[in-house]
Formats: sequence, structure tokens, C-alpha cells
Amino acid sequence: MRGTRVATIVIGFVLVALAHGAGAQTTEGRLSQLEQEIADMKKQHSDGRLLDNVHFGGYGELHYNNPSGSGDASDTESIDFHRFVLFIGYDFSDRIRFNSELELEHSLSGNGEPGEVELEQAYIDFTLNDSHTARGGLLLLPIGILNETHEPTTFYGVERNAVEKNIIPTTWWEAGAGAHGQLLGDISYAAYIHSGLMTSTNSSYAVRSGRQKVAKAQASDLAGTLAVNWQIPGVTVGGSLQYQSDITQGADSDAGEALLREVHVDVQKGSVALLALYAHWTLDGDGPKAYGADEQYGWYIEPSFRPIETVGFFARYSEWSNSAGHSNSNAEKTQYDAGLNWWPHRQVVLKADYQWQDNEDGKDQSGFNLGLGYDF
Amino acid sequence: MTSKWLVLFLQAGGLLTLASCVSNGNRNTAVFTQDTASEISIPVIGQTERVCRESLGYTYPSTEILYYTTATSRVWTIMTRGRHGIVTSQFEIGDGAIRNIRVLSSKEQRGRQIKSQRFLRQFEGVSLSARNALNKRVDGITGATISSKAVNDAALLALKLDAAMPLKASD
Repeated sequence: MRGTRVATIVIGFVLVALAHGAGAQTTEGRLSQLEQEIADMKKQHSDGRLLDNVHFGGYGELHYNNPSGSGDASDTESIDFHRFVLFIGYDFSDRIRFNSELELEHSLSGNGEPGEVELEQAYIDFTLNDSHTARGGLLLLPIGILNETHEPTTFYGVERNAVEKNIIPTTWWEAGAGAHGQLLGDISYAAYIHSGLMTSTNSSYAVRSGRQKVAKAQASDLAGTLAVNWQIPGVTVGGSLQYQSDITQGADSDAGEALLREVHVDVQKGSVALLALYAHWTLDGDGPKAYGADEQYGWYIEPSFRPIETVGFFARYSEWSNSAGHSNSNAEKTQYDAGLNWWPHRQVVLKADYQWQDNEDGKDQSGFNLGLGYDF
Repeated sequence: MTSKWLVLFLQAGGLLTLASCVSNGNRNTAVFTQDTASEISIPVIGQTERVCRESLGYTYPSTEILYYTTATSRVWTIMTRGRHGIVTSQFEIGDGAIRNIRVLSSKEQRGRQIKSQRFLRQFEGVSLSARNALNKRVDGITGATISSKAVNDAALLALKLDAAMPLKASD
């Protein structure tokens, strides 16, 4: 009987010990499981927050160009995925944000290939208050109508207008710092100090050739841009000034300072709209003067009519010269464009236009262009 | 040369800041006084999700839509996509028309003017047309089409949601 009691107690101890051991294992298992769950939740939470702060976007445009040349101008018959662009942004906080734009031009880049990969924007905005934001990095200059906003769904014509391309010269980006914001309610501004152009005699001092694209760019001589716009619903009237302290970055003693003045109007009332822009460069020095490049200017006017949300028609007159300093240089170019945009979706556009050129040098390209564009 | 630039830049910055201090007094005159604790949340599923997609052309950027009621109106808080992130707008709607509107938050840059009273005032009195669109064409901020569209889309969605939920006496 006594032996039975001892045996019962021993067995009891063993069972309790086993149960305790089993319980401890279960608790450890549970703890381990909970820890894993918490880690997973943290990871998910963290991933979610990361994605919440990331912004993606992009645009692209496919062009078919078929103008015929006259004079000594060549015929063009080409199809080209002109631009494939991705935007990536990241909000470090509500007040500090990063934005970037990476572009592949002409589909194929590399040695001997027609295209190139370009970093067109990579800047950080520091919000100072509701009205003012400081910006630093690689930024688009706030000049003209197209340079900052050029998604294909936002403008008429397959190709960007020739005046902003050759005179502004869009798309134009530099590295710099400054601020943008709003004054007195209806007036916005942007002011930056930034890297400058580097033109040369090789390109007859044409401003477009001076874009260094912030690629190991010479930066001995800075530039500054100030832009002001008055904006009310349906109307923007604005302009910009830019000063280049040396448009050859000190490489050419026959050239020096340069000044760009630009004004524009953008009116959209109901179904009718009107764009107009005038831009004028003056380049100091005997070098530019010898090529007539001491004066480079252009202007265009573009009325348009959008009777329904999905279809719009436009016409444009453009005139420009990169060597207007010579009155007899035969360098003035004139182009007429007319066509239509069809938006099957607000973010997708199909374009068709016809261009006529009437250049002073008699080398004209006239014909039609087709385009497909999108943005998201 | 560099110091000359710096002085000019600092002077310009000072003038801009001064001007903005003077100009900030007249913003957001619309009154939205309701305590937001009484906001009601609608999950963006089913019919609501479909209305959102039809109005915006994309998936609503949140899982819920908030509103609260006053004696004679309903106030909707709507989120839409702008050029630089989410634009959050608030609409007071009574008798099927927008009475008040304000932009609560926006990161738009060229489209900063979507917060201006001159732009927002255009929406006052706007209601749904027979074709379920806004019954009045609103002029956007030129050069900031996407930002302007964000507010247009929000107005359309708010009106559609409000129309789907007629005010009851108990509201």
C-alpha cells in the first residue's frame, strides 16, 4: 500500500514534470510564433509606409514623321519612340520631398546608337510654409510654357514647338538651388542660381548646343533665372529673365555674358485657348557677333479650339533665328502647323498635324506627322 | 562674384517672404466648422467603389470616404490624384449643389493656385447635369491641368456620392 502511494507520487511528479516541460515548450513555441508574427507585421507595416511615400509616374510618345524636303533640305520618313520617361518621387516627410525624371530618348542608347539616357530632374523640395518652397538639385528651369510641363497629353502638335526647342532651349535642366512659391495670391515665382550653358564657335554659339545636361559640366561661371507668373483661372501671363555670367564657361575670350528675356501668355476659356510666347537672347562679345549669334530670338502664337472634351484642333505660327544679329544671314525660319489631338482617355492622346516651312535659306521641310502619347 | 549673387539672392528671398506675409491674410474664407469627430466613414467597396472609378478613372486612393452632416447639408472629404501626390478637398453639398469648397491639403507646385478662392469660387452652385457631369465648365489653372483636374474630379465624385444618399430628416 505504501509502495503504491510512493509509486503514485513519483508518477505524479513525472507527469507534472512532463506537463511542465510540455507547457514550457508550448509557451516558447507560442512566443517564437508571436515574435515572428510581430516581425512580419513590422515588415509589412514598414513596407507599406515605404510604398506610401513613393510616387511613380511617367509618360511616353511615339512619333511618325513624313515631311518632304525642298531646296537642299532632306526628306524625312521615320518612326521613333521619341521619349520614354519615368518619374519617381519619395516623401522623406511632409516637408521634404524628392522628385526625379529619367528619360530614354529614341529607344536605344549606347555608343553609336541614336538615343541617350538622360537624368532630367533629381531635386529635393524643402517646404518652408504654405507659400514658399526651397529647391536644390538637378531641376528644370522655369522658362516658357513647355520646359516644366511637357507631357504629350498637355500640348498640341506631334513635336514640341520649334521656338521653345531652339531658343529657350527646352528641355533645359541645370543643377542649382533656389525657391519657388506664391506671392500676393495670384502671382507665382521661381528663382534659382544654377549651372550655365557652354556654347562655342563649333555650333555658331547657338544656345541649344550649349546645354551641358549636368554631365561633368563646366561650372566656372554660374547663371541665374527669375520667373514670375500671374495666374487666375484660365489665364496665365508670365515671363522670365536669365543671366549667364559667361556663356562659354570661360573657354572663349571673344564671348562673355548673355541675357535671356522671355514672356508668354496662356489663355484657356471654355472651348477656346491661345498660347503665345516671345523669347530673346543677347550674347556679348565679338565671337557671337561674328556669327550673328549675338541676337537669337523666336516667337509663336497658337490658337486652339476644343469643341468636345476628347477632340481639339490647333494652328500655330512660329518664327525664330539663332543668328538674327546678321540682317542678311538668311537664318530666319518660319513654320506653320495645323492639326488635331484626340484624347480617347484623358491620359492618352493621338495626334496628327501638318507642317509647312518657309525658311529664308530656302531649305524647307513640309509634310505630316503622327503621334501617340500617354502619361500616368 | 559669388558674394554678389548671394547678396542678391538673400535680398530677393527677404522681399518674397515679406510679400507672402502680407498676402496670406485672405485665404480660405469658406467655413467648415463641424467637429470632425462626428465624421462617418463609408468603405470604398461595391457600388461606392464603382462610382469612384467612374468619376475618377482610377481606384480611389483610400479605403474609406468620410462625410458629416449639418442641418441642411452634407460635407464630403474627397481624395484625388494630383501632379505631385494626393489632393484632399472638402465640399459642402446641400440641395444637390456645392455650397462651399476648400482644398485641405495639396503638394501641387505649378498648381498651387487650386487653393485660391478665385479658382474654388467657380464651383459654388455647381451641381450634376442630366449626363451626370458637372453642369458648369470650370476654368482650370493653365499649365497645371492635372492639379485643376484633381479638384474637378473630386467635385464630381462628391456630388455623385451625395446624390446617391438623399438627406433624411434624421441626418
